[in-house]
Amino acid sequence: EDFLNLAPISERSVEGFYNSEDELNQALMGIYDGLQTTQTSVYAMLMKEQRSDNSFQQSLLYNFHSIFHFNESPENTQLFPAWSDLYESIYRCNIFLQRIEGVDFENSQAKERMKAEAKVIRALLYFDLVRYFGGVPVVTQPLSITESLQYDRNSIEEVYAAIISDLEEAAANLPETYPSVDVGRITSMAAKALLGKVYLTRSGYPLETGEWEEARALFEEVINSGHFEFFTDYGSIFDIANDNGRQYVFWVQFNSDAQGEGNPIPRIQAPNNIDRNNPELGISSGGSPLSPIVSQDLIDRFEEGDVRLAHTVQMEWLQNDGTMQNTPFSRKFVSGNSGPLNNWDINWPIIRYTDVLMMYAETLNEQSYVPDGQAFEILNNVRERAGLGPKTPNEVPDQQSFRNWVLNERRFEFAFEHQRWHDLVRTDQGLAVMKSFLSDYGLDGNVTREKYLYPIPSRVIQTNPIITQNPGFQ
Amino acid sequence: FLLASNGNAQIKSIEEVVVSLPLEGVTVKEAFRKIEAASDYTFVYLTREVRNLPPVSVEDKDQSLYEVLVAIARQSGLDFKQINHNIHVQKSSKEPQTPLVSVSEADIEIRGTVTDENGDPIPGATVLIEGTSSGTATDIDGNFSLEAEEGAVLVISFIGYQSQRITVGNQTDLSITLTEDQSSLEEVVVVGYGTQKSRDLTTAVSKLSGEKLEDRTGTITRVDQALIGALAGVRVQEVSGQPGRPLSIKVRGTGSITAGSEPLYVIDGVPISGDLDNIAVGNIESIEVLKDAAASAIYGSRGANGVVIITTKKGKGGAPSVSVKTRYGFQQVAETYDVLNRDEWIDFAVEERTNTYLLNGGDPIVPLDERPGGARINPEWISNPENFPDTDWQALISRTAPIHNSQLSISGGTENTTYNIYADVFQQEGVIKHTDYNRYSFKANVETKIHDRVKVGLNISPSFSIQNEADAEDVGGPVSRAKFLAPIVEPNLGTVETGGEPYTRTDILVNPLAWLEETDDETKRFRTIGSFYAELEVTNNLSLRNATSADYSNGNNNFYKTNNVNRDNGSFAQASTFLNTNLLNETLLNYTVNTDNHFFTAIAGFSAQKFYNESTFSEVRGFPDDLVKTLNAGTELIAARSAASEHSLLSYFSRATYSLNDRYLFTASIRRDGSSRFGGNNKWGWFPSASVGWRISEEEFMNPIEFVNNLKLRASYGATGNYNIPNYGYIGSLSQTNYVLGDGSGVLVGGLSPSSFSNPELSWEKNNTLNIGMDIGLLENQFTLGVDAYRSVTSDLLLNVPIPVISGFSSSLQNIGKVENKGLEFELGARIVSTRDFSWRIDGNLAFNRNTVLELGPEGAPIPGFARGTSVTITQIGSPIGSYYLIPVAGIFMSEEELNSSPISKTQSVGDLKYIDTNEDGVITDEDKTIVGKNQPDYTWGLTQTIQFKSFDLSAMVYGESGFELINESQGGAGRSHVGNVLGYWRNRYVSPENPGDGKTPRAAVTPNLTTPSTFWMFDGSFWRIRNVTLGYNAPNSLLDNLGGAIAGLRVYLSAENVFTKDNYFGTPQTGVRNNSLLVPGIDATNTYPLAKSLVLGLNVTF
Repeated sequence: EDFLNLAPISERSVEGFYNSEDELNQALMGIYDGLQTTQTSVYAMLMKEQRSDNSFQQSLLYNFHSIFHFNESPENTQLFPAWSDLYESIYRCNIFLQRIEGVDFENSQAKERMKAEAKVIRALLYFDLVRYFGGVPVVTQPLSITESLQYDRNSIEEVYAAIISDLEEAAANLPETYPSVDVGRITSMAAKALLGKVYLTRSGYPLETGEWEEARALFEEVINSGHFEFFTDYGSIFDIANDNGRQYVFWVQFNSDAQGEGNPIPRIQAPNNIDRNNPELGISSGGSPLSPIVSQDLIDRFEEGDVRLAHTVQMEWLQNDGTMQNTPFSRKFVSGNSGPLNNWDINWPIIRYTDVLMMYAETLNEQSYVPDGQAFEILNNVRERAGLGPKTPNEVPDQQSFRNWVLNERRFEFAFEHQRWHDLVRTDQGLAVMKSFLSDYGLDGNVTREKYLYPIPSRVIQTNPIITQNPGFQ
Repeated sequence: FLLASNGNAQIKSIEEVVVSLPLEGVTVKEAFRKIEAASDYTFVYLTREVRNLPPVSVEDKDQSLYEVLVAIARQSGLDFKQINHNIHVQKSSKEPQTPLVSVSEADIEIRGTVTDENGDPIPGATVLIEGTSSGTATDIDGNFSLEAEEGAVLVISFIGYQSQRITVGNQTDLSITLTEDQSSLEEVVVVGYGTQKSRDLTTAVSKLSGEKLEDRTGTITRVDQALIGALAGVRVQEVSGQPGRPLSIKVRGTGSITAGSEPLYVIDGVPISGDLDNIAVGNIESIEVLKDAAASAIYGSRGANGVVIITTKKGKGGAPSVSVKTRYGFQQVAETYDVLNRDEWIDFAVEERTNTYLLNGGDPIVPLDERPGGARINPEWISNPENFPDTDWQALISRTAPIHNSQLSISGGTENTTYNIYADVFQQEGVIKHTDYNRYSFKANVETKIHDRVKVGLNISPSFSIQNEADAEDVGGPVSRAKFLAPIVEPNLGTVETGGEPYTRTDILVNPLAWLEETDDETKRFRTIGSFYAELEVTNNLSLRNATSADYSNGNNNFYKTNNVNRDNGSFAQASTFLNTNLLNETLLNYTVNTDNHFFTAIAGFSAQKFYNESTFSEVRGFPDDLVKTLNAGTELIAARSAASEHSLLSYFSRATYSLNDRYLFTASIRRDGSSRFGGNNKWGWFPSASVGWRISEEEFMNPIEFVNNLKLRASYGATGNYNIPNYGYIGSLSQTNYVLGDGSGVLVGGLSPSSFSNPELSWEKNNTLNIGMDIGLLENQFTLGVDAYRSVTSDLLLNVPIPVISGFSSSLQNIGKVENKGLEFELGARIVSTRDFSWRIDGNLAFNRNTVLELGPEGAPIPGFARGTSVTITQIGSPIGSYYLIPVAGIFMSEEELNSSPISKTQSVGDLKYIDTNEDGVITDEDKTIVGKNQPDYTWGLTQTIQFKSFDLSAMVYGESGFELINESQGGAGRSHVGNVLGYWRNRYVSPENPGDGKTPRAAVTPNLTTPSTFWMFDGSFWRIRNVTLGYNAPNSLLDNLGGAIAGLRVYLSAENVFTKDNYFGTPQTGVRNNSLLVPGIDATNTYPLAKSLVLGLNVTF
């Protein structure tokens, strides 16, 4: 009988795993690993940034273009990876949260903290899903195959309810900071900032819950914590020297030395044939055929003297055959080292401190417009850092114009940080802005409010026919 | 006249026995039966000698048996001789009017033993005294005794062996060795753990003898190629023409969906893992395919996909026989894809880019070369097309390539020892540049008797091969690029170093020739299959055999790609190694009893087998230049890893065969297998089988039907399994998913995440097959026909089911579902003419198979199969596995009216594909997909003709497959001139109402239409091919005698492979190396290495 009982030689098995604190910590790292995939993959860039007016690719070379052109079909090959990566990461959270219950920890606080870390990540993954696809199946425990075939879509409200429940519970069990060896783990501040952002998003389109106070209070807590710093130099925010600095509240860690742990964003943002030997006009490593071209609209709308333009956009670049090219691309995050697979050392922000401040200003304005109030001050600080003069209540005379200012200012501040498309949707400006933007290319006819959501990937429906397609894509 | 005999007092002479036997026009056999009933005598005769005789009559009166026999002898032309109680019958050598009826003299007693070449006794051999009808048969130990006159000649014969004549001298103890008669139709078939006479078979077994391969060993590179079209129900797909690449073999359709569907290979008794690489074709004695479950059940959990048994040549005793064979020839690409030439391409590209530009809202005023990527047009294409090259990329990467094979074999032996030594060199350059395959194979086989009852033997066959693949079949690699790179691109345009061609995206499309030239992709393999065995004859009826075998292979691959063809992403080198071992110990007990009417044989065995494999892989980048290409020259380590895995199989098995009166045949077998691959409760399984046969031709009522010399009915039922799943398939495994923590750039922290579901219930697939068969031989086997009908049901399918990703995984391995294969097979042989100077023989086979899914999953939900991001196949109850599931297309929209009155998909205009609204809901959506085709042929067939005229012979072999479809994946992105060239049918595209094309090909434009999975992607795959034509000359003996007798045989021949193919497709319809799982079969990703046609001149000399 022993002859037939053979254990795997080169891999560990699920059986006998999740049994100790150490093993659970390894499982938790696997959950963090999912952040690297889901937050910096090509689909994240396409679905969060390039869908917006910040970028446009006229090229018809790949089926990526249909996302720019608002005519993607459920078969689009970028959509399914987004769905599957997010749910595979959610599964890692679910099995971890189920198994950790049966394990005794020396320090029960550590156990609660680890559960909280997983819950924040699970909440973030659902936050992506609900913004990409709308009401998706809410799964919070490991499923059997039969069970998975019976899961229908939940409503958008139900998805948000699950997100909020996870974040509230997690925020209470997380520390505000970690010792230096653990820097990079999720703090209570990250949980609160994310929860605030969730409330802010819910308060906009389509739920319009008006939870401005809930959001405001959370942002205020983060601001008053004293752990974060409003950098006075815009460029230093993206400097490798400040990789884990106080400008970030919630971020994904990368390291280019180890295989597969580097940040792909600078590589995929650079043009395919860029010169890799010229750090000024090229970049030291990377380039990809889908490099998003920064839209002329974005470039034109930067105010004269805005230092953020130069940090965001490279107007001209040297091709490896020696010719100069003038299709602008984003060089944000090109800083520090890259590894042999052209992936970079630099971390990736999910929520940075300026975001918290600006969202705080937004909640203040939503609660009541105060000329030259705290909200004005925050936005003007951002402008000042960008080398621009402050705006006055004359220029921004009412609540609506302040809203427009915030949205606009966020566009320049967070360009190519995967904020713009979600901002346009939650403020319901997407329809007007994108119609106007795409009319230059004769594609405005493709823009409808139904396109605020992406189609459910056809493979999802084909494997589980209970799942219904989003309106407009049937 | 009569030879009177004094005889033995107790035994009456036939003259003394008076009988009254009125016989009126009965058969001779009937007459014998009546005489036997009326007397104490028994007739001894060969059925074939009494079969076709005229009916006989005997007067109704009292007369001596002698007189009766004389009467019968006159009418039938038979001689009779009484020896004791037996009356021996023989065809008369004299005129019919003077038959011989005799009573034997008292002769001297002669004893003897008849054995085969291996020294095994031959029971049941006939020993006759020449010129008389007296004789006897050997007993179970091959012993006989009979009385004969001194100087008489004994003729010893046995079916399947050459008869031998021995003159009786003064010796009374004879030892006779019979050699196998290769030409005999009563051939012996290897059935797994033993052999059976073809006529005793009760199961479905097809045999291909080594002789049929002789002339083709110079052109067929691998054993599996030999099976193409040769056997009914064995479908061999040439999925790649890459020298040294394995083929896909399926026996009787597709049983399994996800678990491997390749049969089990058994080489000289050793079930191997992996494929048939490194086996020399020239040393094959025979290949048998066990097709029904009753035949393959003896291999239990591995038998479900059929078993292919390969037996190599063994030593034959006697003086050394030396044979040298050599062949040399050339090959060329058999079929190239039809693509557009320069002018056609420019027309197409301009049209497509303009259409696409306008469709996407482009402003027509914008100059052609300022339009965005994908719509930009070089104005010079229109003004000066002749300034651009017209490159034929497919011609550029291919060549006429030599092929060579030489073999040396020496066979011989002494009284107790036989040996066979074999050496083989095979050298093939590929028809695609920078690819080749060289193989060196050796074999030694020695067997010796160390004791009267003990013999031992050793088989060892080492081989070494070197294969250069040049990454030719890479997805989007050289072969596929050569089809689709635009003809206007300069042939010497590299990628990085020479810059790009801005209008055709050469920055992405690497020059295919440069890719071949600048990629090193060399695999070296060493493999040895060896076994040592000992056999002990415990008693005359019982023997015990133990064999220890090993199949060892290892090898390595060195891969290097230059920065230039890696699109300036840096040069890189990869080194990988593998090691596979397969150790087997097997003990077999063999028991045989043979009496006049009963033949019983049984085996019982035990085997333990363990498979182990390990591999390493490393990759390095950061090469300063491309001068040194080994890992040491790189500076950055990308990967360095190794892995190992193993599995084991324990088996007990037994088989019994019983035949009664040579007419009623019974076989039953059972095997119990335990495998490490399966979960706790399902490690062990039983695999029983039973089969019966009835040789109707031996029945007396068949006597009048004289032209039927063989008629046998067979029926069998058996259970087999399929254990082809990953080694630890039931264990949910964890994979490395690391993260980075800590200040600064952080440090790596190990993480682990589940990468597969656990399923402790996982077990083998169970297959049950019912087979009904019939074998017919007419006119002394001048015509033979084998017919088999079967129904095979596979349950507990091992299925890698796509599942909702919300479960955490996109697929999971499960025992789910049931699938049925039923079919009909015919194998036909006809010796139409058979004279010394002229013979003409036809062998044909034809097989029909229908595959139907009976059950799926707990809920019966269909399983989609994916390509290009969408489902293109469906596996559902009631349909074949992996049926094509697409939106049907009814031509294209030819007018505005047609467009406006039809349901459309997304945005469509005139000239676009007209999809059929199958669910009639007014719009074209995914819901309109329907089953439109399948990849499994309705029928497959093969036909071989052999004509021999004096010293010349000519053979031709044709095979075909009909009634199946395939999908060309490139259709999904077709019409994209910026990615390169398109297939030739685009010449017939819709251009304008005045120039609408063939009504089937849409306009040139990038629209969602083409990416909608429709029957526009699907093509008819039916084809037939003249696979081989050989013309040979065998030097006649008269010529050889003039050479002084130094040469025993001389043959020269010319052989051509893949002479002609008739199909309805652009390339080879059997194509496809990517995406081709059984759930998604027959997807042509256009990267398949082309098949070669070849012409070879060969010379065989035997000394």
